[in-house]
This record gives sequence, C-alpha cells and structure tokens, in this order.
Amino acid sequence: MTSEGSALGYPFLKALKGVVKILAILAISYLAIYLLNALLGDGVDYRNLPILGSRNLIWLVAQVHLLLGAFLLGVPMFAVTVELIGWKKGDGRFDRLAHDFTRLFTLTGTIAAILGGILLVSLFILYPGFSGYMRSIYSPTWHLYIGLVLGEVISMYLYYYSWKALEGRKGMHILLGIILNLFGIAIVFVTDIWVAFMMTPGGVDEKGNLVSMWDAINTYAWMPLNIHRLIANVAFGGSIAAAYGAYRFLSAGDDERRAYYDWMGYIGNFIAMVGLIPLPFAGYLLAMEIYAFNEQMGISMMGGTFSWLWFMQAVIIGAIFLAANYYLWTAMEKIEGAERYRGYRKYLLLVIVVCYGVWLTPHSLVATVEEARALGGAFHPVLGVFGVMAAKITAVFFLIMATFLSFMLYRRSDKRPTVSWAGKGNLLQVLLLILSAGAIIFLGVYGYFVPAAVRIRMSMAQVVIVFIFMVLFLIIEYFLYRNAEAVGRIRWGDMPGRSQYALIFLAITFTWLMGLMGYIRSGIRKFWHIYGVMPDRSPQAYLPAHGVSTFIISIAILIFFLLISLVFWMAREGRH
Amino acid sequence: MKKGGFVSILLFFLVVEAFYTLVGNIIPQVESRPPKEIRITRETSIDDLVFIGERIMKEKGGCFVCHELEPREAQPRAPAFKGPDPIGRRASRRVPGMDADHYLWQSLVDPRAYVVKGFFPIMPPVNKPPVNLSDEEIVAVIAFLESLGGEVTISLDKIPRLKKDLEGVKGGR
Ligand code: HEC
Repeated sequence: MTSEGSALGYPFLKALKGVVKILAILAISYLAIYLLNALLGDGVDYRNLPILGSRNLIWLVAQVHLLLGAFLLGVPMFAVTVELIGWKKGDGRFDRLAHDFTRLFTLTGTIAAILGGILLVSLFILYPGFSGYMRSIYSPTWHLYIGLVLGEVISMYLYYYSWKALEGRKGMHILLGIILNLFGIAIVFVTDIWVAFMMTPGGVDEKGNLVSMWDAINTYAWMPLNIHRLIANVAFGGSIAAAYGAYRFLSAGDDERRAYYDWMGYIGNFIAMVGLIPLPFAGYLLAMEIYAFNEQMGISMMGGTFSWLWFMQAVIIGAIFLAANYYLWTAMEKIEGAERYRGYRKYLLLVIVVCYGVWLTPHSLVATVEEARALGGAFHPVLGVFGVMAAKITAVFFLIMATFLSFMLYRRSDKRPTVSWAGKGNLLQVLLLILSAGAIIFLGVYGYFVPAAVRIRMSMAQVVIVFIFMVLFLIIEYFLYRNAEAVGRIRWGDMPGRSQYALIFLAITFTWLMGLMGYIRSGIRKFWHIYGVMPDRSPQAYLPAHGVSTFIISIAILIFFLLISLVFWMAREGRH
Repeated sequence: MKKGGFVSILLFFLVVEAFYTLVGNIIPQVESRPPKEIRITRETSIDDLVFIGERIMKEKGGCFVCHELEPREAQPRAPAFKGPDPIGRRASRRVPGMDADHYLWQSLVDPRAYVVKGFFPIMPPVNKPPVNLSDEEIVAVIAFLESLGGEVTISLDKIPRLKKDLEGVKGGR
C-alpha cells in the first residue's frame, strides 16, 4: 500500500477497487444466505446454533462489527480535525499524525465489512422471522445504507490516496475529509433507525404492519441515539489513537519517535476528553426519550434488572476520570515550569477521590424491582431518576470541573502571561471557580429539600453553570496567555511508562463501557425483538445473569482489540 | 519479554478485562426470564385465580414497577393497592354507576378513562403490548385486586358482558 502516487487517477483506481471489494462481500453474503436457506429448509422463524447459541453469536458479531464501525467513523473525525489544525498552525507534526491514522482506514474497513457480512448472514439464517420482518419494513433504508457505505468507501480511498497529490491544495483535501465524515454520520443515522425501532417502535399498527415510513424512522430513541453515538465516536476514536500512541511510545527505539508518539498520545487523549465531557448529557436525553416512549420501560431500565449494571457504569466512569487526570499530572513532570502548579495536584486528587466516592455510593441500588418498591424513596413519575441522582450529578460536575482544571494547569505549565493585568485576570478566574463551585454545591444540597420536580431544574441549572464556568474561564485564559512567554519547554518523550499505561487503560475501559451500555440499551427490550410488536420466542429470549453478560462483553472487546492490533501491525510504518 | 512490548500490553489488557468481569460476577446476579404462561380455565377456583393474579402482576404485568401493595412512599408513582382504603373496597366507589368489576376492567384496559386524582396518566393499557395480558389473565388480576379488602365477584363468565358494557373503552396509547 502506498499513497505516493501523485497522479489523481491513481486514487480513483483505488476507490474502484474498494467498491468492488464491498460489493463482492455483499454478493457473497447474499449467496451464503440463499444457499444456507436452500440447504436448511425454509419456513422457520428460528434456527438454533449449537453450543454457543444463536443469541450469543449475534451479540458477539454485532458488538465487534459496531466497534469497528465506530472506529471507522471516529478516526476520520479525529484525522480531519487534526489535519485541519495542522494546516492552520502550519505544524507538520499534525499532518503526519492525521496521515498515520488514515493509513488504518482501508484495512479496518475491509474487516468491518466482512464482519458486517457475517452479521447479515447470521441474522437471516438464525433469526429468519425477525430479519424477514425488518426487511419487509426497511428495504428502502437498507438500500440507502448500501449506497452510503459505497460513498464512504469511495471518499475514504480518495482521501487517503490523494494525500500527497493534494499536498499543495490542502483545502481541497480537507473538503474530501469532510465529505467522508458526512457519509460516516449518515451511516450512523441510518443504522440507528433500525436499532431505535427495535427499542421504541413507531409507524406500525398493532399487527406490525407499516403505517408510516417516516414514523418508523423518526422513533423516540432515534435522534438521542444519533447524538449519543456521534459524540461517543469522537471520544472513542481519540482514545484508541491515544492507546496506539502509547503502544508505539513504549516500543519506540529512539528519542525522536518517543517524542512523536508521546505527543500522539497526548492529542488523542485530549480529543477523547473533549468527547467524553458532553456524553453524560446526551445519555440523559436518551433516557428521557425512553421514559417518554414507555414509562414502564424507563423505570425498569433505571431501577430493575439493570440497577447493578449502572453501578458498574459508575465504577467505570470514575476510573476513566481518575486515569485521565493521572495522565495529565504525570505529563506535567516533563514540562519545565510546571513546578509552579504541581502543588495543586493533591487538592485535585482529593476532590476527585471524594466525588468518586459519592458517585459510587449506591442510592437506589437494588437487585429487583420488588426490592426497589420495598425500600421506597421519593419518586416522581417522569423525573424520579434524576431526583434520586441529585448528589451523584453534583459529584459528576465536580469530576468534570476538576479534570478541566487539571487540563488548564497542564496548558499553563510552560508559559507565563505577559499582559499587565495578569494578576487580576488570574484572581477573576479563581473567583469564578469559587462562585461556580459554591453554586453547584448549594444547588446540590438544596435539591434534597425540594420536591423532585423542582430538583430536576436544579441539575439543569448546574449544567448551565458548569458550562458558563468553562466558557468564561477559557475566554479569560485566551486573553491572559495570548502573548505569553515560554518559561521552559515540553520535553516530549520524557514520560514514565506508567503514564502510557494510563492511556491504554483508558482505551480498554472506554471500549468496555461501550459494550456495557450497548448491552443495557439492547437489554431493556427484555424478551422482545421489537418492543411490544414482535416477541422473542427463541430459547434464548432472556437476559443472562450479570456475570455471564459481562463475560460476553469482555470476549467481544478482546476480539475487537486483537483485530485492531492486527490492523495497526499491518499498517505500521515501513511496511507496504 | 520486553517492557511495553505487545505481550505485556496484552497481559495488562487481560488484567483490566478480568477485573471488570470479576466486578460483573461479584454484584448480585439477576437473570430475567420471560414470564411463564399460566393456564386459566372455568375450573380454576377463586383462590387459585387470586393466587395466579398476584403472580401475573409481579411477573408478566410488571405492575410493581409503579405500584406498591402497602403505601410506603411519600410521593408514590402510582396508587398503592392496600392501606386504609384498599383497592378491593374503593374500586366500586370510584366512578358512579360502576361496580368493582367494571371499574377495574376499565382501569386496566383504558387507564386514561379515569385518572386517579394526584397522579399522572402514565399507566400502559394491560391488554396491549408490551404487557399484553389475555382476557383470562385480566380476570385473574382483577380477582387478586378485589381480594384486597373486598369480595371477589369477577369470573370468566363475565368477560363477554364486561366487554360489551365497556364497548367504548378501547385502550391503546
Ligand atoms: C408505568 C406505571 C404503571 C404501571 C406499570 C402500572 N400502573 Fe396501574 N396505575 C398507574 C398510575 C400512575 C395510576 C393512577 C393514575 C390512573 O388512574 O391512571 C394507576 C392506576 C391503577 C389502578 C386504579 C387505582 C385506583 O386507585 O383506582 C389500577 C387498578 C391499576 N393501576 C392496576 C395496575 C395493574 C394491575 C398493573 C399491571 C398489570 C398496573 N396497574 C401497571 C401506573 C402504573
């Protein structure tokens, strides 16, 4: 593989090859479905896969396919952003970074497509009744999807292989990258139609006949799912990029490489954090829509079978914040001038540990719905879930603010402001911090003494405060450090190995969290293929014990990382 | 084995995954199975009907996601069925001209026809998916509710009559 071709015809030739590849995989899948159906005999609703079980196979294949897909959509977002920054800054490192990741596209795309083919065949062979029904409703969107995938492949190949040829016309190349991302986003939107329909169906009558195509597309969960997945993809792409940087850093032979990969890890982590911070809000939006669709579904999602999995989510999110801060704090060691700020780290650590504790403390944590009933507690029909979580939400805001501050300290480490009002500006920022933190605590505590319906407005106010705090802080910061003088330099590459393990930990954990949340999202349908429309009558129409589910999630994540390692290995520098 | 080589990273990866899987195994293990279908016939005794009704409410009906038996909460999501004025007694007083059988049947298949004061109309009709109780199952549920402080007057024979009287009541969202 090479991108050195300077003639523009070459990229088109490559794109054609990509299209042929996708169409071939699709054709083989259709053929496999046809042949297997002929072999096994038609007219059944289910076929059971021995040993592993049909459901578990679908679970694994779908999860790995989704992760590869998320990677394929997240990494272009990452690459184009980085390329754009490099272009604006005139910093060649960024361009190299973007290009390094683009190298991964074609192979990942192929593996993702093969898994997609396996998923398609498995669905139609093991769940013919369900798949046939979905096809009867969603044929048009399926064809749209194929078209979009081809568009994605074409723009992906063009983007990658025209890198050198369009060197002098960067704007053009970035435009290509944006088109690539538009295809990616459209693909997320189309696939979410199907998933959202299974959770919160619409547009069909009681017998499941299609009444309105648009209603079947624009279901309750559709938009929130789109938003949630898009943001998560940014974070996911960044965290995988950071882990890759970490791996290369750890195995780098010389200082030049160590410096570059250290920097790669930093940028990846930065983008991951930017994606992570708005994610909880998108999550609440999704939960709200689920409640609006069916109260019973919402309540049993938050309080029933899944309540202990939400506890796991809390463990994991806390661990993510801890590791991200730890990384920034160790990274400050390599910055000359950071001594000035190191003292603050212990306070930040204290805040984070305390908040983690609050966040972990079970509030409405029970194994069954009956237990939840027995324990009681003030619930409001629609907003109860937020009410119960008042203290936790406050803790999360502090985690977010502490991480934000860690990052700000990191940014400042090698600089000193030169503006005359530096002292006052700094004071203003401190005041801003004290004021916002005070307001958030006040609202959090006050929230306990008001009815749940008012409490929800409190947490909305908290969101706004955190947001305004960050924006104002950044504005002051921008002017404060505009013409700052350097007090030292960043010794890129001078990082302890443990900091890199923190990045790897973040990538594993983030991916695992996606697996867990995906399971909850899918599991709330319980024994329905399509909630309330088509029951699951197969022998595996049940939710396994948590221990089993988490084990399956772990296996899926393991397969994904092995595949991604393969891609990284195949695409490493100096290999063609 | 090189520090930071593929093998040590893989080991690290497996340790992290093992930790999460371990947590997943330590937390209380719940498995959620689809409810079993229980046969209800004309031969089913009233006691059995009441017993089956309670079970349906716990399992297939998912009623206790919102309701509780004993009133415990300060701001309950839905009315409790026991307490000083249990449902078996208050059902016949809710709507003038409706006896307990009629009122309860209506509350179940068209919860919005009469919304208890102080509550939101969030209850799903039970004869529609996803709950999807059959007529016989609804009878069993009503038998259980009536047994709470009242007299069980419902029976399978009354189904056609109740449906006819409540013609306008369709249910559905
Ligand atoms: C999503 C929450 C929810 C679920 C699930 C639910 N209910 Fe209700 N139910 C309510 C609410 C709220 C009310 C009061 C408002 C109204 O009348 O609609 C109510 C009212 C009732 C009433 C009338 C009570 C009275 O005092 O007059 C009965 C009877 C009842 N429900 C039975 C059931 C049964 C049986 C089930 C299970 C098959 C069930 N409900 C499931 C929320 C729910």
